[in-house]
Amino acid sequence: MVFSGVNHMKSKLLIFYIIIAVTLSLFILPASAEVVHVIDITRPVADTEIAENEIFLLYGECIYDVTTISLEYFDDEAGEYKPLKATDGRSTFNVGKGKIFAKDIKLKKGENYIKITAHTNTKESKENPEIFEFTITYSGEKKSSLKDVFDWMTGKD
Amino acid sequence: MIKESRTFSFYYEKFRTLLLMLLIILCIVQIGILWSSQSGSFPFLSSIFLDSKNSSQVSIDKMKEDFLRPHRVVLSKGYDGDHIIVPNGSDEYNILWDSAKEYLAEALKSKPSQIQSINEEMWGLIVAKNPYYFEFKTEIPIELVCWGLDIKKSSDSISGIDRMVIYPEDPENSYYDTLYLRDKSNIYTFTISNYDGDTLDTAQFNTLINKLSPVNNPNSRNYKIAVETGSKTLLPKDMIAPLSASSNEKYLDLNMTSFVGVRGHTSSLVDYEAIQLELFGEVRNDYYPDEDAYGSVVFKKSDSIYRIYKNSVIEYKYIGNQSGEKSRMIEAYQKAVSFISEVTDKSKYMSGVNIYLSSVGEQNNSYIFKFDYSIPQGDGMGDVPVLVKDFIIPNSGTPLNNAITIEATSKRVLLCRWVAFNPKANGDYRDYRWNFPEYVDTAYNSIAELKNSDLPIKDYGIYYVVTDKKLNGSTLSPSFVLFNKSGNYDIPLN
Repeated sequence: MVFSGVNHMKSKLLIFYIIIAVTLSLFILPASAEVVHVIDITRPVADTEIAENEIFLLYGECIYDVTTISLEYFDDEAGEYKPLKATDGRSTFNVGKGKIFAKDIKLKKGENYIKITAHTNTKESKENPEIFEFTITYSGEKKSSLKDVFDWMTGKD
Repeated sequence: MIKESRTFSFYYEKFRTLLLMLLIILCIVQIGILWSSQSGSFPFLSSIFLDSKNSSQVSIDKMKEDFLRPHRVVLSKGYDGDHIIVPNGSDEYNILWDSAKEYLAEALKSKPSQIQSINEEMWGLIVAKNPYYFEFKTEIPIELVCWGLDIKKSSDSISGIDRMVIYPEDPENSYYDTLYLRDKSNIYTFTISNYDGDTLDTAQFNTLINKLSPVNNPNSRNYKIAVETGSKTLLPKDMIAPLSASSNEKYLDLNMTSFVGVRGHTSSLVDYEAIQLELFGEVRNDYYPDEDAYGSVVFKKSDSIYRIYKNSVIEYKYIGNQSGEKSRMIEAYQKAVSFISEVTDKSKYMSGVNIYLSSVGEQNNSYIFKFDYSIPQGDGMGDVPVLVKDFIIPNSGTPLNNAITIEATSKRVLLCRWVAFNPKANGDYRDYRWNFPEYVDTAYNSIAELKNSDLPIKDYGIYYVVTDKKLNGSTLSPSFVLFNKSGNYDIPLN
């Protein structure tokens, strides 16, 4: 009776070990491929944003002294991401100790799928860059119809 | 016989009385001339014996508003739209400032419709979304604003004006004119409902923005406002800068001349007279020339002393008796303005520059007013501020971080120190192409003190950085200057 109780305890312990081993492997494996956080993107302010102007500002503040940033857009026809040139003509650039990343991009009417990829100069970061994806919808310039009505009523049009 | 004697005595007494009266009048004239030439002039006498102080009183009215003008005026086409800097001193700047004063005067007649504690993001959005933005170098105390702009009545709740935004015919305020004011602690919203003027209406805005837009004006500066970089940015939310695209700008190089005779040893009367001519615009016999232990030229009289330091800093000090009575800020400021007016009238070393009030402080019974220079670029190109750096008062070790520092009471100026130089344009404009992130990068890479410091940046600007070493005969080009909590750091613009 005592013997069977010991065996029962052993099997319980074994199951516990197996659970721990499986759980640890689940956590440890992704940790080895962890993405290094290298930049805080503050604009766009959310994953999706609606823009009223054709020129849109992408802005972020880097964490490390050397950061390489690439811009891409999703080409609907090709069905893949392609390099996106900022208004200064560059799609990849380095940010140094000033840590400020700011680029204007030109939007097409409708939805624009933008990908920002950033890494530092370490091997880990280069292999696992930080990737941000945004959908920016360019709706065209907003016109105040109320203002038009007011101008018409006051004879200012 | 007796009758003749009495007649003689009568006329003799009359003559003596007249003589005595004449002597008394001459005595008053003598005292009047003496007192009116001194800073402690008796008001009754100085009103009779006109001298330079009275003429400067006239010019105070002309220039009282000058030092209180905004150092930056911006036209905005809304969030993410164009934000165009209006060049200081240009026709457009004058139109906007004259109109803004009318809106301000009207607003201050009423109480604010809303008072909110300063929220940097909210303020940044107000600046970005509204059409007219006026930024001052410092918070101008409300009593100085009212005096300078001839505003009779003011709202009690506001302590001063640091920044101002105007939205005429504001669609979000039932098409009334909205005016936002900011002092050191609050944002005040005024709704102007009784103002008939339309000097800043949509038609005027469209005219000005078309004239100043980069398409029509190659010298235009179309910047972004930091709040447009997102609410989580570490930049000051209302900072305006070329944040993404580079800006093409033109600036003058300057030839700098320090005050005459400050570098070498001075001993002859001719040298002293030459210095007096530069300082006072005339040779004054009431000031006794001398040289102090540090080799500085000194002009002294019974109640005041001028000292010309070898680093081209000039000091005026009142050494007469002082009363301990409490001063009024407005009267002290008037004395300060009057003093600057006199110096600019007489000496070329403070003329040819624009002067802005940079700070106001109070100590014991006096007030400290600090001012800074800006160098006009000519041709409606605005002005470029001067950053005074590394100037030290030799015998006290006191650093001088502003172009002019004046301590004044209601009665007189007690102390004035100013950096005296004469800037002259050296050749034509030079072209510069720059943007904010690249220059921040260069600054953090090249300046040792910045290498280990992070954002946030408090402010930035394009300045002429004037140091003791750059004063004498050197050519001065504009610099990019970063301000953070530790100080300021400059790199040449190129």
